[in-house]
Amino acid sequence: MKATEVLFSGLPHTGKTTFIALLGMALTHGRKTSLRLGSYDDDREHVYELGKTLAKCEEADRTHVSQRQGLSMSLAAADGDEYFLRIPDLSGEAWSELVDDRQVDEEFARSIETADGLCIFVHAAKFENDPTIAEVDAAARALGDEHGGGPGLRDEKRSSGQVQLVELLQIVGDRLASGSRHLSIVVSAFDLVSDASPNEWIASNAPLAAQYLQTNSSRNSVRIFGLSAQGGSFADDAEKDNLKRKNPIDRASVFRGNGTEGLLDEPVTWALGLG
Amino acid sequence: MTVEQEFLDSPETELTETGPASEVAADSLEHKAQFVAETRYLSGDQGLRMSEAEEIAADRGAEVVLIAGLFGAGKTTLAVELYARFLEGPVGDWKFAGSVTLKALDHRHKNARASSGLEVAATERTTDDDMRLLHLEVDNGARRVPILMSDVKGEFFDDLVHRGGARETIPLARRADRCVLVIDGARLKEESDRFQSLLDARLMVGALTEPGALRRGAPILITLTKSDSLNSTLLEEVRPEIQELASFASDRGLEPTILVTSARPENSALEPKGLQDLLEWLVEPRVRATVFVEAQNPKRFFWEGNNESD
Repeated sequence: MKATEVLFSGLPHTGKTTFIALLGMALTHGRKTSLRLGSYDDDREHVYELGKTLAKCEEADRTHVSQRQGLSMSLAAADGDEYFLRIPDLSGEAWSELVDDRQVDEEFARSIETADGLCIFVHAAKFENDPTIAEVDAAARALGDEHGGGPGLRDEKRSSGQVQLVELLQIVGDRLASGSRHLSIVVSAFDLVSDASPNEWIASNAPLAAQYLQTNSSRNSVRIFGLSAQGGSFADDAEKDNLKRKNPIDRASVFRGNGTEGLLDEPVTWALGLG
Repeated sequence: MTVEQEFLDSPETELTETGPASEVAADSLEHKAQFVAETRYLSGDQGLRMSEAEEIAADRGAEVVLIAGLFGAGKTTLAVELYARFLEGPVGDWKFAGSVTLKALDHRHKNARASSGLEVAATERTTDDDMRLLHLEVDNGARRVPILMSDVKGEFFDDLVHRGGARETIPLARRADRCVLVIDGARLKEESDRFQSLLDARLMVGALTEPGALRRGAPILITLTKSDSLNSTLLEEVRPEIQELASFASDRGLEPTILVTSARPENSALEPKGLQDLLEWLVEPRVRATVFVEAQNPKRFFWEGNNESD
């Protein structure tokens, strides 16, 4: 059995833990996945508890989230190969510290360097574009305000979502990588995107990242996925009631770069080079 | 010999960096070494020191570009707004291909963004005593060009104007593959200011072409910034004087080109101008011969259509 590790990279609240919960359930049930559970002897308490809250359409309990135990499972691929997959549930803050403060403890750096696969998460609704003052002024003028947009609130550290994404790509795909690797970019909360495929979403919301991916395609093999782990918003009561009528695996979706629906474990199998 | 020295010495001469700048760098490096013992530090939040830039210059064959100009002329704004064009998409045929100083570029662009809390876009003054370089790599599908643009505070160039001595004052000059000489267009409105500005520019060109500074045949882009502050009449008035400066640069063994820019127009309703031409010049394969080509290509000049401030 081959031990493999996939890292879920992304800033806080980008859907990493929710996907771990979904993946744990889907792999256990063997539904909408290409990998199958290989053993029932693994310790699954953490993922089991996370899965329970997801099934009830509730936000993950912070106690379970803070344990950061991640997912550890024995799995079998369709070709019969067996894997022991570990996906540590790394905090978004650790990734923030890496991107914003340029600090990484040695153990974390080594785990990035040696990981068999990496999935980078961005949240479709929380992806900030941080417009220029000129753009804000132009928008204000378009609305008839000749004086422009006025000052915004100062946020010392803030970078735009696309700059953060490119930084993550450069760090995990180049600076802390020993060679070329497979990377998955996962756009979470993709149910909120109605008019674009995952590839189109990146092209229009993160043109800097889109250029970077095109010009560095020979270094890393990158695929973009859309993920709807919850199937909709748990904050909206009516929507939540509707979601509760479906089981958590059926209401979840993964979309490939071109917009076609894929299996729920595809971001992980691609990152492992099994896709 | 240190890596930093090797960088400066490549490819022709030798020089040891001296003075306050090197002391600051040494202190900072010592501090960083202690820090690294506990955690790993990923450089790139600041511009690169020359020693750090060496790796990129050596490994990737980066073009080292000295951006020269007095305080407030718009050196940093020019570099940062070039980067910022890529935030919206490719610039002409060129796509963003990476930057180890992405965080530093983004930080310098901060005051042009709404999250700065400012009402009017600005560029934070460069105060670093160290000579830093900003990395921007671009690719057009056929060629990949890593560019290292200097971010050197204007006071160094004030010194150059007053006392000369580029070899000691701007040690980066002799490592530079090309030079962008930035002239503040806003200071060309009044005759007296204009005279002084162009004299300063001439003195800079002179000092930068003394032995130990820019090499013979180095391309120089004489860049008039903030052109939105000049109307078309003023631009026509200035034109022969800039061409005279270009002739002087040519006489001094450089290969001049003239560019008129408005990288971040004061009136936010106006589009930036000249940035794509700046990029095209930066990525142009170098021609070693020292030839002064008078404005044959009209695309190189933007004297027309800059009269928005009329």
